[in-house]
Amino acid sequence: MSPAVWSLLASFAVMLPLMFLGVHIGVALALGGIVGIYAFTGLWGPGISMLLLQSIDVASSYTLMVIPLFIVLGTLASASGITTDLFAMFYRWFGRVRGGVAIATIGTCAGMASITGSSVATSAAMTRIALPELRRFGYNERLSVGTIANGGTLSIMIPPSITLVLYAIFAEQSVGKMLVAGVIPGLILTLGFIVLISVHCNIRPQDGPRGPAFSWKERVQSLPGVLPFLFIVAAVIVGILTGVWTPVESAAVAVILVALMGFMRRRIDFGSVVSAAREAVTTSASVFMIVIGSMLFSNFLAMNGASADITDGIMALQLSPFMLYVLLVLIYIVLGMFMEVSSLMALTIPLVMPLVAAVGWNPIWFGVVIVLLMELAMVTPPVGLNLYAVKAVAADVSLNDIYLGSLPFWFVNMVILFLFYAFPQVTLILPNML
Amino acid sequence: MPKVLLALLRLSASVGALSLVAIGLIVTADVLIRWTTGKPVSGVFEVASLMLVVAIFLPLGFMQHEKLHIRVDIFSSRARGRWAAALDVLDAVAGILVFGLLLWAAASEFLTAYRGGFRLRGIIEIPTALQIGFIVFGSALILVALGYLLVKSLRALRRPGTPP
Repeated sequence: MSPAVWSLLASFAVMLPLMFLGVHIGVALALGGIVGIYAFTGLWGPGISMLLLQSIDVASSYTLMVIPLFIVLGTLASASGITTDLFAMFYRWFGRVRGGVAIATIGTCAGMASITGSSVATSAAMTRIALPELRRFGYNERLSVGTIANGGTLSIMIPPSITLVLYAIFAEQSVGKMLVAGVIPGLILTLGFIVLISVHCNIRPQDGPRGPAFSWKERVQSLPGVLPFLFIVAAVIVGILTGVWTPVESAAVAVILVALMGFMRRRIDFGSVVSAAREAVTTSASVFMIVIGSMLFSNFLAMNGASADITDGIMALQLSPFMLYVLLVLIYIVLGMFMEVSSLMALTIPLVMPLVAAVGWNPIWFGVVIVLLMELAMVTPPVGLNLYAVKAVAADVSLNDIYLGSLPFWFVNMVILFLFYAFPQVTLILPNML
Repeated sequence: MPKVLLALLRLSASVGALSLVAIGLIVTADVLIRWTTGKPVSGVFEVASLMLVVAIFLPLGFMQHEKLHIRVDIFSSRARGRWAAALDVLDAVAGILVFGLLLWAAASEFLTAYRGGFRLRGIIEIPTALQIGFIVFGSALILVALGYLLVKSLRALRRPGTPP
């Protein structure tokens, strides 16, 4: 057995059991990397030095600063009542059509997604806000919870998305390009979900009855409430797209804007800002440990050349690009059933990227595909976090109903996944403008 | 956990949070000043990068104590009694190993940087020891939390009558 293969096996033998037995993902990845480097070089020193080096590099990375800033942005936006205002606006404009309250839920999720990168937070918040309304109008329970669980996943596609940032870091791509690449796919997904709800409710009107009618005056009155939201979206997306500022600057400015708007509307105070920041730094600390572990593991892979061997092995199978795509989709769906998004990406991206380069796929396009697969992972049992986020808030809904309610949306995701394969340029329009 | 230690973990997390708020303010101020005067503020990149180390490493102990770390919980969420305690022991031991190694490597690097008076290159020069010092402190905090978890789960593991 060659040293490269032996060290890779040793690394996986340590890392995977630890990972699945519930050890912090970052710790498992770091230990896997250190053991792998030892198995390859016969020395402990390089692995330990690399652990320190990566800790310094990652924790002081200006680019990675967007992660805690995006998290605090989402928490503050939610606390300042932007979500409620958005839902009220969509509800007044679309509530009257069949399935309108569910459509308003998807619209709000998409809006919420453009100010927060956490899909679990979106699903949990929307369960609190939208589920009582969906129930009040007699919506089918499975359709309701499926809408909320899947609407939440839009947060990891529509910027500011922490998942897109993590992919950019793991795949060594531009964070700015990756963030704007999520805009059009996110809107297509939103549209796909809305079409699904409309078709469902037109075939089975009893599942999504019409909501109350609002006058044009009442509809127009709901618009000023969403102006703060539009400001933030402009600050984040348009700012990056036009090159006015970097992703870090856009995140910082958006945080300060949301805090100021929250102060002015008396919905938040300094205490809530610090509390949101504390939540953001504890979550970010955990994410950064994963990045450190993943970088260490990537260094080990680069050192032993195993990922190049794996790429050569797969290329030797002479699969067509489409078959390779199908194979990757299947692998990610299976892994997504058991692994949480950031760990799945940290483990697989360093292995898969050489393959992406060998096939000649665009890494930005591939990032969109990966993030879409991560969306599927968020709603695929048994680990799909969004399903549990809905269950945690709506304890009286059975997990079975949430699984089955998510299934039609899951297929919409799959259709779009293959549309992106057929028309990759759709995902590249905005990044190519940068 | 003793109240003093818990208070220390909470305080460190709050310092990390304030550091994040400061990053937001500094970067925004830089953008505004750049717009109005056409010149960027010197040293924002270096100061913000240093503050990020504070924001990430100081809350580590609190994160561990509150069990907010990201993990695959297929087994751990279903484990009860001694099984749960055994998984906690594994989590704590693996964490102590990694953060112990990091503390050891960082502490030695800290001493070298401090004695040598090394500075990070940039528009403003920040002592390297300061940056590494926060990593040492953060690693020590998480080791405290992991040590507490280890003792607690070992006790649960030994407790007679705890169902497996």
